[in-house]
Amino acid sequence: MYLYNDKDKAIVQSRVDEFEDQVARRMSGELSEDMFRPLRLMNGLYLQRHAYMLRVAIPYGLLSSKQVRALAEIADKYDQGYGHITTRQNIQYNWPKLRDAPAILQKLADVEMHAIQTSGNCIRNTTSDPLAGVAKDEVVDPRPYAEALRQWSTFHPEFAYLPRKFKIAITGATEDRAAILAHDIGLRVVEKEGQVGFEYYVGGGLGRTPILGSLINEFLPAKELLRYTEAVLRVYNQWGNRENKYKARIKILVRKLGPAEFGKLVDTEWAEVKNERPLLSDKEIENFKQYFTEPNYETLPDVAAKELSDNKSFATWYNQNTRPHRKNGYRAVYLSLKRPGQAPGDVTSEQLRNIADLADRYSFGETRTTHEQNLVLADVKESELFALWADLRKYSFATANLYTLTDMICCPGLDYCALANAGSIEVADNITKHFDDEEKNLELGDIHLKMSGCINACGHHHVGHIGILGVNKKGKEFYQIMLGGSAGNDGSLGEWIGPAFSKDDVHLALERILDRYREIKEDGERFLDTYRRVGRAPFKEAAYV
Amino acid sequence: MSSGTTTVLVRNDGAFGVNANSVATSSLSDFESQEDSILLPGETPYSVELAERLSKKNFIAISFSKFADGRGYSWAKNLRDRFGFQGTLRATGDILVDQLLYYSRVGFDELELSEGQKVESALRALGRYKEFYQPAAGETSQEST
Repeated sequence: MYLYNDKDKAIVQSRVDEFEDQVARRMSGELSEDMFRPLRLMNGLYLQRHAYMLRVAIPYGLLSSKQVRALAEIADKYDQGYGHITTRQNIQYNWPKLRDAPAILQKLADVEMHAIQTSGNCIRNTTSDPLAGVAKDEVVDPRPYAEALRQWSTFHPEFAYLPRKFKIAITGATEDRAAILAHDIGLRVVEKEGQVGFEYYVGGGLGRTPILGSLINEFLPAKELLRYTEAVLRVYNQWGNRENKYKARIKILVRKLGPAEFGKLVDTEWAEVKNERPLLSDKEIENFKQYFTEPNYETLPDVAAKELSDNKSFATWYNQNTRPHRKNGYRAVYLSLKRPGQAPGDVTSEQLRNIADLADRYSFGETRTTHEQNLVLADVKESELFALWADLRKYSFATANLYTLTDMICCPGLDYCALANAGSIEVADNITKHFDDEEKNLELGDIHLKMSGCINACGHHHVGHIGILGVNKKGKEFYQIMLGGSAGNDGSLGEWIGPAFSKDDVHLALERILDRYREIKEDGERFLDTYRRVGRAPFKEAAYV
Repeated sequence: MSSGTTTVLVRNDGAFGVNANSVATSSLSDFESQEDSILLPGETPYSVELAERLSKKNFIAISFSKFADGRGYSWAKNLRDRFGFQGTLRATGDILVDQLLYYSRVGFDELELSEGQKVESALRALGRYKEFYQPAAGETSQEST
């Protein structure tokens, strides 16, 4: 588990003091709202539809049970008793008051957390694989490199006023669980002839102009990570569009120049940076690795939970919501935050405390947030899975729906967000209720449903196997459906099927589309596979009756 | 820059001072004049050739037309680290007190406050952080911990 050293503590404490000072100057009128805005944004404080929203960074999604309890306390004391897990593994609070923000940041700093650079046109929190360090398909643990990036990008003086926000994701596994192609920089840690390095993608992003990242370096040696990334950021800082915020992301620059030409600019800049900055040393890389020592695993036999054979319900959950672990006798367990009556990703203070207790009891006191807005207990013994499952059922985290239709990604939508055009939570709830039949849902299999309440695409609808976009037409909310996207290794952008549906018809249209899938799917095909085989027409025909 | 402007000076040794001097600067358009000082708009497109010519001056003021435009930071960093500029580098224009530390870290040694900005707030902002994750311009590396 990552622990702050004295330097981290000093820096985060300085930030708390600084923000307290800034809030005081805002309240006294020394700072106008225009001057204060960029300062609060770099501390994750947005002004939303009804109130401020505070986004708290969770580097690479790792949380200790102590931190989870502090998050619960903040939810109770300064919010309305809940928080919201985001698609970038952070947590946000929807109801804090400006005057309370310094106290919240202090509370966070006391448990080694912060809201640094969780918004604003700067380098945001680096995200990673929620199964980092434990996944069976992992080649190299990405977290030491995520930590190198975290330190380098935190308060980077040159790159704090970029043309637009900048997001980095990193994975070290075969299966991409971090959506690296949907990020400004996406990294896959690989090993080549015994050397660790990165496949380096740039220019991915969703929003109004969805583009998947392009590979600009097939193998960047690990020691070059910061020098090369500095070169990418400098090229972007110098040449990114600053006239039009909708054309300001790096993806637009990469597309305008073409990835090859952009790569050349980076190479020229990189050659200069090589004269100015040292490589990451072995010692530094070793230090970054030391932050992520493995927990005190027991030596266990490679035996699956014994209750699997005689409890069907448990077996269903085991197959759907747990994943293999690289250590014999352990599994990684997903806690589903998706069920009827709960906005996707929302978590109450009581649930947070329950999660902290479960983490202490079953998983070395650690939990993780995921890009899909769920939680993970990464190190659970096979022999304790049955007991954990019973506890998860008690707290309603045991919906066996991971990566199925009802495990959808969803933005906060019109209920909270100042940018949204349409509500998303109500539609999510309609869908969750309509498909709240475990057997039916599991039979539909692996379906990634992603929904956004506006074209800014925080719900990643372009890369959903099924994507839903809320729009506003003459004061009424409507929903467009797209099919065929993917954020995984087989990354693709979805295609619209036709005119928008009314709010009450979205779940019914989905049912018609999925009925067609059941009719025409071939053995072993996921929805996405069938779509790629037959194309849009059969689904379009079914959707509009 | 009119005379009488309060200028918060950041010195390389980390000391701060306040004076009311203002240095005359010529604009880029009369670059070849005898003036030893130059005013460079931060949004000027970067070029190696221009950076080389600039680095021969003794005083460069980089002006920020909008505080949110970060291009001037890269100019400063490159002039210092890549072109060995040893003269005085001043940040002027739309700059916020809370940005001063970043300006000083990328190589500016003079920061010109605009009217209404308080010197005490500026000095507080400059002195608050003692630890950094990155080297400043001119430093080769920051020992990582």
